[in-house]
Amino acid sequence: MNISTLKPSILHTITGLPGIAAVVDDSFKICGRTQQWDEVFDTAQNPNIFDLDCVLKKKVLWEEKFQNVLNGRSAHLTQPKKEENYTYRWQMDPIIIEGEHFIYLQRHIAIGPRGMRINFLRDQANKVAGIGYWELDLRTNMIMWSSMTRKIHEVPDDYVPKLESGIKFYKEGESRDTITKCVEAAIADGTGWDVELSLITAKGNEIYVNARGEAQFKNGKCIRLIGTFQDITESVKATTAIRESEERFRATFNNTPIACLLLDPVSLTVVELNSSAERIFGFSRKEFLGLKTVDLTHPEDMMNTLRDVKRLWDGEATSIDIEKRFIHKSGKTLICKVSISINRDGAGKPINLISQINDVTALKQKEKEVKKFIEVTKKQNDRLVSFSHIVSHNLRSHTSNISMLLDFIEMETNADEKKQQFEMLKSASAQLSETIMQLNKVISLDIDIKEKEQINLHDAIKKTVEGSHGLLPKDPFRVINKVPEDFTVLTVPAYLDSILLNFLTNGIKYREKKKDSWLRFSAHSESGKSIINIEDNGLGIDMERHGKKLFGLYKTFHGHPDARGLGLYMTKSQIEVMGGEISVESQPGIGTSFKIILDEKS
Amino acid sequence: MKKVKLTCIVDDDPIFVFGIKKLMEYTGFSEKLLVYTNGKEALDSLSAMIENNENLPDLILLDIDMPVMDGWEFLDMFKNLTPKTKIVIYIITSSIAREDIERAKRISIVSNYVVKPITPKDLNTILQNVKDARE
Repeated sequence: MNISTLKPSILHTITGLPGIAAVVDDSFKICGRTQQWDEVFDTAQNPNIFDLDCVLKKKVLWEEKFQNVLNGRSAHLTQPKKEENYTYRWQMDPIIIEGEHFIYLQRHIAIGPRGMRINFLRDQANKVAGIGYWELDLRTNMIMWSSMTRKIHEVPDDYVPKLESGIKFYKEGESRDTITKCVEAAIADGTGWDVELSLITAKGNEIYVNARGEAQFKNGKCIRLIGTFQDITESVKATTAIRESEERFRATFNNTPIACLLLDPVSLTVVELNSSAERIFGFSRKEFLGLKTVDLTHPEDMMNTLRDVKRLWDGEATSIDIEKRFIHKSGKTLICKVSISINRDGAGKPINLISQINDVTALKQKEKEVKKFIEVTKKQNDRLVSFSHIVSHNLRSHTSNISMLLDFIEMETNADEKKQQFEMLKSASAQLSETIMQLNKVISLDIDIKEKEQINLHDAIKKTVEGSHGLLPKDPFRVINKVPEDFTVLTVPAYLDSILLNFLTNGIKYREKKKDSWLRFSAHSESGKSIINIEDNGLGIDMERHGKKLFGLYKTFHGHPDARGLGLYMTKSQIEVMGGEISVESQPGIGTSFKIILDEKS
Repeated sequence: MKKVKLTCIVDDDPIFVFGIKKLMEYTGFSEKLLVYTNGKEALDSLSAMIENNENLPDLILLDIDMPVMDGWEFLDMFKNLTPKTKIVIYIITSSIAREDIERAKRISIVSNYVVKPITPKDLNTILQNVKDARE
């Protein structure tokens, strides 16, 4: 057979076939083409197959394939052509015509526009989700990484993975051991894997990935491993951050000196608590769980507490700060500052109430003491102000009189006049001494702290009246001692004598002479206090005009010649120094009533 | 006018009253004197004088601390009266307490505040002031 006749006739037959096909000889010259080939490729002028752009681009790959075919083995090649939305499959088969080797080249559509679209979308989705995928063909040991897989590993786009490199990126130790076991198991019996592992990227960054994979089998033999990677570093970091934050919260919750109670929003039952709650309330954790707010709240604060909870429930407030009382396990009252807030789920339904309780009982006690101290100090200060007023006023009035009289005496020529002025000078001097003596009394009251004793009040009044027999007036005046015979008061004895004497002399001084006058003492005990009442039917005093000044130093109101303005001032001071109080009610023409309140116990 | 025609002294301290009378004699301060020992006495008397259309004092020298009715109360009541002639009021007191001085300043009918002991020089100033008020 003549080669030159056989070859053209076969080539002619081939060129008459449908589809895109060509015959290439061992020098890569296109020696035959189908009609459709010509419609796609312009090779009439350039008959070498390597003149085709797509072939030239991957010359080495094609050459390798062609060499295989020329050696008698079929080959194929996939060529994605994104711009055309097609993926082509090149089928290459050997033909031997008259001992001469040819390559029969056909192009098929592997994936059409629809398939390409699906692949495109999958890649996009993977890119967005950060999912990369890979394939390992166990028959060829060819390994394929998607671009996202490369990105995850931080390798360049042209990075060619090797069989072992897939494993090498896993962090040495637990991660690498795990993936090795997973792969071995998959190859052995087809078990898939889905694990979270650490990976060290090409750039040395440690990242977390979710690695999934499965094995594909053919005729009972594993031929392929496919898998996906998802970078979950951010989510792992976030989870870690949440866990750390939770741990911090838990540590705070457990270590804060503030009692924290987590309550069921409906029953207000304690569902969780910290150790401070145990310490503050005296209940053990076991006793606590199951207790309700109502079991812990002071009965008088119950209504307010329930009202506050309702406000939280109704969404009028997200948190409420109050001061309320609780009952300690021992029964004693706790004064606490409380902050209650409500937790709701996404739908707005209350999940729980958080009650943060700060025990301020001791603080309140201190505050009370400080207040009392301030009160005492204020009273002392008031006395000092009065005192300075006296220094300013009374001493000055005496000294100015004295200096004036001395001037007169010096100038006076008339002996009688001089004598009269000298008498006045003596009187002014005596008044000055008296004032100084009185001021001494006032000061000593604040300086000498005297011991208090239980004194029988009935007897003390009796003694005072008997001792002042000479003071009692000739006109009708009765002292009525209504104090129970066994009634005692805790008082400084000297102060009590002075107070009683002052009320007696005042009663006499300011009696209404036209009436049958009386002065009545009575006393009773009331919630830990001794109450002493001193009433008279005397002149009385206009409280509106003089009420504020009544107990003032050197304040006199009736123009009585013996009034010094010292008695009630001293009485009030003495009572206050003993921690007591005095108040007065009076009406002109009717009488006056004083009320003294003293502590029964010190 | 060389003298005050009628001066009213309201003070419960007999020594002070003695002293100021004496000073007024020496200086020829006033033709006549009225003396009251507390605010109420003064107020009752002045009210009656106004009612009876009697000659009213040109000047009142008023003490603060007095029994029955003190100087402040007197001023409080007195400002409700309607005297036909101008009456100059001086507070004469031993008190140098700032609150008293401030309080006196806030009362419009009070001309001035003089701290005891009162001197001839003080009386001179007061006399001048009464003269000015008259003109």
